[in-house]
Amino acid sequence: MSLLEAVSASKVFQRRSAAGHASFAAVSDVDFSVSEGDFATIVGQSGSGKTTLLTMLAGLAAPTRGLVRFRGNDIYSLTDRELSALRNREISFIPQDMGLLGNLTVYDNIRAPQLFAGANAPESGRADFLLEAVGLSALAFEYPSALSGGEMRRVAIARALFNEPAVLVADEPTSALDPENSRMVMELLRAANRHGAAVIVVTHEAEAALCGSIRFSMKNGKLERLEA
Amino acid sequence: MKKLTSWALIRQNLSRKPVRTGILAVIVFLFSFTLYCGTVIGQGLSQGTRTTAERLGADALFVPYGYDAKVQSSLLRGEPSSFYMDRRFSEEVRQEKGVEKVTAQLFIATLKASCCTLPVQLIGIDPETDFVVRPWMASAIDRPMRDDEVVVGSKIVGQVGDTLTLFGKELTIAARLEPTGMGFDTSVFLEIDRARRLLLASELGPRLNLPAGLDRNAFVSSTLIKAAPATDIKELVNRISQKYAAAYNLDFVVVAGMITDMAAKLSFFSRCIHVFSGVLWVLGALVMALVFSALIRERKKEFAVLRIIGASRSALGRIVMREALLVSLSGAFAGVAAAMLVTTLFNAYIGAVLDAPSLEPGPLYRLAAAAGALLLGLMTGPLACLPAMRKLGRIDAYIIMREEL
Repeated sequence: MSLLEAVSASKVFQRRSAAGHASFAAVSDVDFSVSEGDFATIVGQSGSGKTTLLTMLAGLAAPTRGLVRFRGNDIYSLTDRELSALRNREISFIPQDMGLLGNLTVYDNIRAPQLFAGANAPESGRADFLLEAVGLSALAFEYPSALSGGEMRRVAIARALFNEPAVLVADEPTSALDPENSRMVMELLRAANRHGAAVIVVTHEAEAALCGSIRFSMKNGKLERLEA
Repeated sequence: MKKLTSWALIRQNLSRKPVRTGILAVIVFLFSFTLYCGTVIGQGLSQGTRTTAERLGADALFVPYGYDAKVQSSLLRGEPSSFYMDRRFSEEVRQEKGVEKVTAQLFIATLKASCCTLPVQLIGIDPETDFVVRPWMASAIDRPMRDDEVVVGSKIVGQVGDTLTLFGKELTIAARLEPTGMGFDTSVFLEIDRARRLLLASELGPRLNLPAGLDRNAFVSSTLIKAAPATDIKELVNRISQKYAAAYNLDFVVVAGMITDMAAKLSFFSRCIHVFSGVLWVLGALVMALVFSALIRERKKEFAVLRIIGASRSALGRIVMREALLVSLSGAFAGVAAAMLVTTLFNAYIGAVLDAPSLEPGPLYRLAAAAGALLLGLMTGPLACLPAMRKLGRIDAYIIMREEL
């Protein structure tokens, strides 16, 4: 059974231009699925619809047509509170631009999912473990403004792993990083996958794409599965 | 380590942006300060006016010509003044139809006298006829005042039993009066003949410049009249003026007119204060709404991140509302505290500036005013951020992310 799947999912935007309004399909009729233990990579050029597909899978943007299911349930039929809880516990999203909270320290950024996890949130000790795992223990009480791009990306990954999600969705996790940091970030994602999380990564980079046990290519809003 | 809570996040958000937090708090401070001051000062003045009317008891005052304004400032604000007229007028006017009670008072200013402990207004009263002061003196002293005793207004320094030196004589404080909001609060009362003898025996006595023909043993400063029930006071005062003005060189003050003038002034002042408070609140709320709107736009990235990690729309709203509430709370508390301090310290000065008697409202009224100003101040922030929050709530997290991340 699929853990997370998109069924004939499309996302259409209205574009406003001098000529008037026009419809634009960022994602067209996409079928996609991952199961527990999968590591999926999606490659494609800028504007191909990768990020839009990813945000639909992460519970952040409802498809215009079609469905997104988690463990067989249509996630966009849930209430906002239920869908938010799903994002908090089961589907963690790592945005392309790090997305850290500037007023919180590295340590607090990592355990920020506690804010919305209620009584079942992991203890703060998990943040210590994750800090160690991403090699940032020394920077625990620094603010994000003091971090490099690679360090911020590692903090974002640690935060995404805090609630031990079933699916980790990463948007261009290695973009703008040097090769060493890129390798470190991909190794962290592989480690999360080894520990049981299904991972979906969107990337430009061929080397990163090769990490996937299942690979996809996206072009003009259409998704195509590649040979293994 | 304790779990991270939304309050900790809010505290961090506020403390890491001190200028932003400070500006918002100052807006609420100004509003709460003005609202409390306006309410309490307005009430103090209105209470002072009511007390003046109730305590004065007289319908009209006759004074030497040209001293009508002096007697008003003496009564209302306790400004020391000295002016004299013939005592015989008070005896003659008693016979007039429509006059129920008549009494005379003697005002002696000790302002520049080196003789006395305090620069105050001394008021000599006639124990035989007094109907103005004695009724509320009786509530403070239940026996006739002795020759060496005085009764002091509420703002005169000294305890019952202490002595005051007036014109070289030591006089014992027999009683202290309740606050009136009038000039009586800064006056010292003694028996009228005793007051006259003190004055004449003092260093001021030989230099006393009494109007020609005035008996040095029978002069007073004002004659107060209470009209019989159902008497037309204006008609009575006009009749008395026409008959005696020339002989005694008189001027008069109709108390009802004085109170009406004050009430009209106060009513205008109260309206101004309330309109000003209202305008300030609307402006404050508008400015805060604009600031919140700008802040929420500026903080879209932060909100998108919170949505990504599992914040529901309502949880996000709660965080922003609590931030607004905390900012409002600090501004409102500081505003009300500062306003309480200012109104307590400067109550008398405010009354003097507005040329009206002022009585600080009781603790219950002040508490209610503080609670009201606090509540309205508290509501300012959350109300002001509502429109921006509603707008933000309608936008998909994905759209915010596309714009901001």
